[in-house]
Amino acid sequence: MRDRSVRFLNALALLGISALLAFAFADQIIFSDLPCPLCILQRLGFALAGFGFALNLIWGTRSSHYALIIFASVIGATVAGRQVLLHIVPGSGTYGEPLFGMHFYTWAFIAFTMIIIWCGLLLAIDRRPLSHGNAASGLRESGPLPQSVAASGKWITALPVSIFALLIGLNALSTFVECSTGICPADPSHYELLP
Amino acid sequence: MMALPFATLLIGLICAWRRHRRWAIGLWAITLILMIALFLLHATDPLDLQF
Repeated sequence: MRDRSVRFLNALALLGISALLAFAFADQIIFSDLPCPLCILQRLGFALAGFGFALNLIWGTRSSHYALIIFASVIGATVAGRQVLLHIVPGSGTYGEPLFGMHFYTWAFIAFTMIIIWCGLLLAIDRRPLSHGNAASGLRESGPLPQSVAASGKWITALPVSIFALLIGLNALSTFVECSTGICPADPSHYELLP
Repeated sequence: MMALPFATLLIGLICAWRRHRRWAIGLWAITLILMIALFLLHATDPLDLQF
């Protein structure tokens, strides 16, 4: 029962991160709000954090997967905090339109903090990663998963991971179209590869 | 150039899905290093940080 709850909470976190990425992508496409280099790096931070949740869904929970999420969230929060500090002085301008009174980079900083807190909660309720339960159950570093693990909650793994992979692919494509192979401009006004 | 880390992460996710956990984590680490390098390249000039 606890395993299923932890799996569900990991899937929920991955869907939440996918929703953030989808929202940012929709804002870019619908409102032509091109992401700046720091905005792209924050998206990358969310993708790196989501990767840990995806590993938890695919391979079962491990402390190393939670470590990946926390590392990525700290780096992502650093990038978001850097952008907050760039605009914190009155009169120093902002980037993009605010949402509910705060800019996307401020929301990103809050979201990275929430992801770290979420990991803390999951680690508190999931006792397996600390007891090496997965290693004892026969999980290997490569090759097929044991049938009992692979069969449990197939959709709860496949759906969030597929959506997440699609969003990473779309971000790779849009970033390539926006910045091409060079360095992204600090304040992009058009897609480099589009006429 | 900023699309590269998204591509490495996508390949890492495909490796994870195909049950190659070490490759997946290795590609995650490469993506993180690329992210830090791009952060230093793009965002630290105004701070006058010396690395």
